Amino acid sequence: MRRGPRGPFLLGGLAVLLVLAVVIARAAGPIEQPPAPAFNARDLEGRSVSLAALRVRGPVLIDFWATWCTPCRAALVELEDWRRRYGPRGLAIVAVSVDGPRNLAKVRPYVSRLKVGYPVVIDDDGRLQELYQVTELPTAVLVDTAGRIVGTRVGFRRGETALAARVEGLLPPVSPAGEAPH
Amino acid sequence: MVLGRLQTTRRTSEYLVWAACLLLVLAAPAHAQIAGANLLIGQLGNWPPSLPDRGNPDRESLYDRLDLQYLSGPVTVGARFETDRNSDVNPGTDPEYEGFSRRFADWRDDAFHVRVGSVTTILGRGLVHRSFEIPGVVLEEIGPRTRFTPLRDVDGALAEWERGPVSLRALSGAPSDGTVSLAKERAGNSPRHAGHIAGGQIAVALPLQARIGAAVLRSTGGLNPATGLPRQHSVGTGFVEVDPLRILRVTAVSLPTYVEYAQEDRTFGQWWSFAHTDRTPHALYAGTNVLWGPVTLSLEWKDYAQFRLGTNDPPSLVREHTEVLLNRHTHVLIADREEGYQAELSWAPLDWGTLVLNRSRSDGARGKRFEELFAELRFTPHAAERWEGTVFADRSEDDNEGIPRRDTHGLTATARWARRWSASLDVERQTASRVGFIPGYEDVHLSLTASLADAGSVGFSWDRTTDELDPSWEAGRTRALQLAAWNASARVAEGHDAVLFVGKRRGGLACTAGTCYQVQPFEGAELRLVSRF
Repeated sequence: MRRGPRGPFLLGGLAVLLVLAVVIARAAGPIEQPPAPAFNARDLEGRSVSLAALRVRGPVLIDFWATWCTPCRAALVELEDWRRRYGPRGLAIVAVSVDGPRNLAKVRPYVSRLKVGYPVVIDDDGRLQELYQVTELPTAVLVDTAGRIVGTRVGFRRGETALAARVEGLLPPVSPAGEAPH
Repeated sequence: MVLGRLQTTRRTSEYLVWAACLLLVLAAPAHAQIAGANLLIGQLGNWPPSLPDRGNPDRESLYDRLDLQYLSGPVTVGARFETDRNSDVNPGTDPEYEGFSRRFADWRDDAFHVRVGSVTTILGRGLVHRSFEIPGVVLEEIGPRTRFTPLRDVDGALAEWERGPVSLRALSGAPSDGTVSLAKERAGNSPRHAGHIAGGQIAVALPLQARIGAAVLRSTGGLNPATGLPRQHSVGTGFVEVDPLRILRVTAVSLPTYVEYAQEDRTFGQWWSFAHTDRTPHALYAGTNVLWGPVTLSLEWKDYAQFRLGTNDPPSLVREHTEVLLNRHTHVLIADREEGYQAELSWAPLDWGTLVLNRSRSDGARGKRFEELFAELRFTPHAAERWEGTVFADRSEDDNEGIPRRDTHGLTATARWARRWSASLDVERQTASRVGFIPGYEDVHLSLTASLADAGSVGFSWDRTTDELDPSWEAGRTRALQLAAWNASARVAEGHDAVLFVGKRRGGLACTAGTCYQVQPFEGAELRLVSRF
């Protein structure tokens, strides 16, 4: 028993929604972004990592990942490159592992293999994942010094420039000598 | 007439809710305290023809999940609105629904955190309790055919306090096993939250990154199968986290170690006896890492007996594979009785290559065993600037599935050019033998994807199987089953990603974030739109 031929209407509705989403998103232009939820956690070395403390120095990039997520690996490697490139200019990076109990024992070896230099936090109770409404992995959230979320990247494809451009826009320009002004 | 009025009222309230949601979305930029995420999935297609008993095979459906959070200083208020509209009509049950499936209010400062409403948390490593959500997963119910987001939460309250080295956590409420949708709940079949749990945890941080703690949980709900009386039980657990080499001032090698031991319905004095016979409900988990330059080793051991509590999630100690054919045959933990280990060694002698070896084994009741050996070699020459590749091989035995031997091997490769372009190939083959009259099978998976950074990707996948137990296998079929599909993804605007799938999707087991669930087979077109604002 069926309620009638709703298929074409459904697909049509979806298409309209998609077009509307694009039009609204593009027409809206730059908008004021929501605040980044505050958090305080400990990294794998036992050091305290708090958003409030990190953003004093500059923008903060929070990357949500897991050991079982294939594209997350490439994203973490790229962020290590960003740490070297943008770190001296003020960017702080925090990687948040959302691995559950099943994979927690693999987080340290995984991070050790990738030789990342930024702090890695374990979100074992899913609190940060929920606060930042992370539903896909990897998800990178860029927070400015005012504590606003100014960029989000869901998924990862190597060579992407949109988020890097946004990071660049938040950092002080490189001086002719190649160093960021203090 | 009354029915008509009711339907009109329901439609009106539905439109009002949608209008309110739309207003909130549009108002979000202005107020800047509202953050949200939306997932929309539209399907046009059918169930595979092998399942005519599930009703009309042709169907359309539209699922939407809207999460909104209002943030103001230390306060966060959040809600989730879910709806599923489809073309099915089941006698007696309405598979369509709309409503709030999650609500919470949260307050936190530097030392204190309180939440009322929908709560997710963990005690220890999940031996006695873990409530959670699997990111990005939407399930489909078979009864009233409807889609929903599985959420294993507790409807109640959570309080956390931390001062110096001491941290406390307490929770109370009605738990959910995450398998019931709003539609099923409204049909009166079963409530989403049932029973009651109450518990807490204390943990103390010690010098040299050591930590010690204990947790208890009392629960009621369901019936005791032995007595037929309402079930009531309590579990207690203790855990310790320490790096013994750090205490010995060894710096060249790290040995972070975690041990947790839990028992059900025992006194504190009995808990200290560390009983581990099958007759004593208990769970013991120990895990350690050896980190020594390019060599890393992860070792875990488990011993669970009668510890399927319904609200816990002990580590299963089986590798979570990302390879398609291995993932769909992941061993699911049987906490009623299982003992075993998992060891994973990785060696990265040079920047361009990593070797991973994984060995796991689980011995269950009546001598049933799961055993697996996995090897992977990953190449990343020149920091994977131009290409990278992985080859893997896996051999396993699973008595629970009646599979004495299963061999899987495959390769993945990605080539990159012109900075933003890339192409990926994934080829996998699996063969298995079965005990009894059901013949073994051969599975082949192939996928090819081309991607343009900042824009999207287009891919093609092809599966071939001779597995007679596959959900799409029709009775009487003699030839191999083949399933082909196209998919495309695009970033339509910042914060808006779309994925289009056209073709046949294979049903069966899938595992994400350490949790396994059943995916229903599908044939048709599906559009998935993920938005953040």
